[in-house]
Amino acid sequence: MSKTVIIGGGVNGASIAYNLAKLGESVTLIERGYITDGATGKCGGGIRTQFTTEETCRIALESSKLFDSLAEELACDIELRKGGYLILAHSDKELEEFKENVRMQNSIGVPSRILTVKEIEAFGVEPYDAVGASFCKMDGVANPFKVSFGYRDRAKELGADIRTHEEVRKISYNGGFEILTDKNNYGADFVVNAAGYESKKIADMLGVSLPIEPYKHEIFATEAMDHFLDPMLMSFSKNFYISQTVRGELVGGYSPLEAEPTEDLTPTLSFAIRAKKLFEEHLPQIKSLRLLRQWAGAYDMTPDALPILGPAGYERFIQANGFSGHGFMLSPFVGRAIASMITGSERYRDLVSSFSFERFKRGVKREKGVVG
Amino acid sequence: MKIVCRCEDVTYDDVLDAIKKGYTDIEELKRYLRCSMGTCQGRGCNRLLRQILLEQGVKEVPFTKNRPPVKPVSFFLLEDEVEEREGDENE
Ligand SMILES: Cc1cc2nc3c(=O)[nH]c(=O)nc-3n(C[C@H](O)[C@H](O)[C@H](O)COP(=O)(O)OP(=O)(O)OC[C@H]3O[C@@H](n4cnc5c(N)ncnc54)[C@H](O)[C@@H]3O)c2cc1C
Ligand code: FES
Repeated sequence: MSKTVIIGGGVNGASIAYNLAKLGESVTLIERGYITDGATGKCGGGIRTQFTTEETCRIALESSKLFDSLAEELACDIELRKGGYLILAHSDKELEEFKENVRMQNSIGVPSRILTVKEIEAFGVEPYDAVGASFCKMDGVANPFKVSFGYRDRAKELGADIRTHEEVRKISYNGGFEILTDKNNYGADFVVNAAGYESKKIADMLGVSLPIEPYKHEIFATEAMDHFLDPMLMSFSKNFYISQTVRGELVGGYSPLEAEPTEDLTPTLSFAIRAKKLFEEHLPQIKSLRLLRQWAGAYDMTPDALPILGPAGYERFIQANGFSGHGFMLSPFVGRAIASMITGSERYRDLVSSFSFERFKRGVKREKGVVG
Repeated sequence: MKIVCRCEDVTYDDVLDAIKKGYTDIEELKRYLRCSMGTCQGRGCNRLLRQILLEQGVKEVPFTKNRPPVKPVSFFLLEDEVEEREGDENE
């Protein structure tokens, strides 16, 4: 028996497993498919600190700093490249909002700033209809597979029990938790729910209702080309992002602003065509490139587009879900914060307090910096 | 040194090493090593990868799923093709 059972082997489950094992805790991770089978394997790899709510900025900043030393910590190349995030403003009104965001971000130590149209051009980006941008050099990209497998490998070396190809079917509570899978039966003091958009189904097993719904997001990768794009280019109002990986591929996505929840993740041709039209306005080079792969994944959305971190329904039923489009960038922080919560440390208590399950009872303010 | 994947520079020993670490699901192995995720999208190495797994005693090795398009297409052509199709519908 492990003290903690983690359900879900995405980047967050893996990070939590690693951080617990590092603290000498006994931990079992159960994943239905393989590590990265969920949203993590569909992810764009972006890491940013430019959010519109202060609480999110704070944990994103903490996480971004952890990424800087992660390759060393996990002893593997995570293909981290910090070329910044360049977020386009397409109207004067949007630019005014960005200026306010930058003021708030600067006040808590995020080194973001406003760019002029000329400065956008200097990044090799065609401004097209942009009237300015917000930029932060601390932001960047890394490889979600490398990060997840890095956490998994180190966790395993430190004694974590990693079980893939095993599905959690039922959970019950009687002073402690009992977790039933298609293969085994586990007892645990703590259960961590890191099952991505399916976290709702896991919580339902214990009669806890999480406000999480799946939204489809499509994404593509082109063949590699010589490095020309430093920052991740993004737009809130046009709902797109695109970046060049260390290997030279362009990885980008956009999503219609109005969408309904769905678990259907079929890639579509119309997405590829729309995406190309959107991106060639700012990056004309893309026209000559070949589309290598395209796929879709789901965001696990809460009403305020912010994660749930901490207990729900039971004191020791810990949530690490509801990450919207930001679960990868937050994962180094989430691993530390949840591990610290389980070991009874106060270290991250203030930082995570804004992300409690209880907040939905009080009413919430939506994070507006969500893309894709 | 035997090469399994030319696009991503993966050797036979790399594959054995990963299998030893517990990566025996071909989909997971592919992502762990990037073997079959290169420019040729596995045309050059996917069968070899399957073969090694079978040879190492892994019982079930399904064929990996391919992400569309089947062959890389130019963004430029993509648009032409659809405009043509839309044109057809108008006729
Ligand atoms: C197209 C796209 C682009 C994105 N781009 C970015 C980006 O640039 N930056 C960023 O930070 N984030 C991005 N995201 C979001 C990010 O991918 C996710 O927030 C993150 O990967 C979530 O990780 P996770 O570990 O919480 O969940 P997941 O990776 O979804 O893992 C959950 C796991 O739980 C398993 N599971 C479910 N039910 C059960 C069960 N009953 N028993 C056992 N296992 C179960 C699933 O198989 C799955 O592997 C993107 C997402 C998408 C879809
Ligand atoms: S030879 Fe492995 S992807 Fe091309």
